[in-house]
Amino acid sequence: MKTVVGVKTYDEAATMLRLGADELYGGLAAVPNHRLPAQSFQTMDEIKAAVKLTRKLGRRFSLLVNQPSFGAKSRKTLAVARELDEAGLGACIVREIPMLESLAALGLKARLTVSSLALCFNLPAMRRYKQLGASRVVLPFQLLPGEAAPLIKNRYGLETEVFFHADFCCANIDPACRLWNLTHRDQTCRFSYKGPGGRWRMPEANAREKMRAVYGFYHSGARYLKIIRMNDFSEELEVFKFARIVDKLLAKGQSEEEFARLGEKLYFTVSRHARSAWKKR
Amino acid sequence: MEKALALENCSPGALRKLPADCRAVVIGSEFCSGLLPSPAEARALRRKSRGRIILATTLLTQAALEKVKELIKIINSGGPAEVVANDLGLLETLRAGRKAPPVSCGRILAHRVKIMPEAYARNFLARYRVAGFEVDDASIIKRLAPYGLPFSWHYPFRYATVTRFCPWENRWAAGCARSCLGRARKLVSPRVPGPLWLRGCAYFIPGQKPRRDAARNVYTPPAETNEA
Repeated sequence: MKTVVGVKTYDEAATMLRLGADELYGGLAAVPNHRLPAQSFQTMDEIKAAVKLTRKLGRRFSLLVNQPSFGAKSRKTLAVARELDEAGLGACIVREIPMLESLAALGLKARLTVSSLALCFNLPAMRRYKQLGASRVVLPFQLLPGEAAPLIKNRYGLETEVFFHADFCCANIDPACRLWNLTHRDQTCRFSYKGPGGRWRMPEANAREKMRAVYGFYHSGARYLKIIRMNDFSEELEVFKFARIVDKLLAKGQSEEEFARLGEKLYFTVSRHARSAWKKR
Repeated sequence: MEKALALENCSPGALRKLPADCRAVVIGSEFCSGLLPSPAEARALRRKSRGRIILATTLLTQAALEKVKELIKIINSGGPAEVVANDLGLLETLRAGRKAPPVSCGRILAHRVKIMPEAYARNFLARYRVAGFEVDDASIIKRLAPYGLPFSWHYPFRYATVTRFCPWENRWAAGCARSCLGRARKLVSPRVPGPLWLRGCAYFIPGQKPRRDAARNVYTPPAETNEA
């Protein structure tokens, strides 16, 4: 599968390209996107340089526009997209329909990708996004391979991209989650709760189930594997390495059971990020 | 103002308990497609009730969308019906249908509509012939007021979050055994104001009261078993 890797600095972009990332994506702190500003490029000059470098190497850089923006911020987003388009931007990853339409109206060379946060779960939704100018859809985190198969094999010519579930998957449906409004704290889903049987946590898929999802997506025909942005780039490198090994295992044609077993072992040995995430649970 | 009862369970046993004066019932779920009734259950309800049947739906996989299409056909014949939509694909499907029942914008989707530029939202709502909103959060009512559509108020719970990884069966919701039916689980954390109640695949905050300004008040009765 082709790897699509999140970066937040020029150096990270250069490193990932050198290591063989097929595509990059990133946000600009001044443009609303779904991560903290610290997980985005800080200046226009730096992201523009990363876009140019990626373009020079014949690969694609996508700009994240996956958080709602209003008024002046919306205009700023469009201006940034236009400027980066001139520098060789490959795509914009968009969450909300009005922004998708606004970007389509600009007539950019950059393509339009529908963010996983847009929650495109079925073919009629996909067809609508195609009508609105999208050329790729990032499938929602909590859509399973069997459920995603009709979308991956869609007749509309839309590419599909899946997250590298082996490393991460939200406990809840992210864009439909209102927990932050309740506590004004991140990751309320990972708090420890007191339930009827004692300590209780909002459950999520375990490592083996996540590996099965990766296996299922691969065999459903998914060809773009997305790796999330992380605060700690050394951890992201670990995950990237993990994803590459997993991809090789998939190409070997192992059975699902064997793949899940090996993948689970790798999950805890190769990826430092996975180990620390698991410890936090 | 209309009153509606949200039926978690559409089985024949549950239907027998339906109050005689119940003019509107909500079936299905805005948070889990595993809680959609079977076609046979929907048919039985349609036969029993001349009142309004409101089919609540959540984000829909392709398979779930096909099932919803069948359920809409059933409830839309022989009595008044409505659909609560939270999925763009369902809205597109209903838009293309000739005899589609009135559609209301569900609680998940309403949070996306509220952030749209006003002129854009007007076109969006007109495109899909949206006739109202489902609401359980007072703060959103003001945001949706410019569109002049009636709203259904859900009480006594407000939704906080939703998952597709079933918290009752500890596995992905595909292949649901409906082990959540009739059950609610109380969860408490000192870092969260008030308890969360887990019902189906969603977590709720309790304490909502009916509203006079709502076109409809939708009451969700307590679960048979409260695990506290």
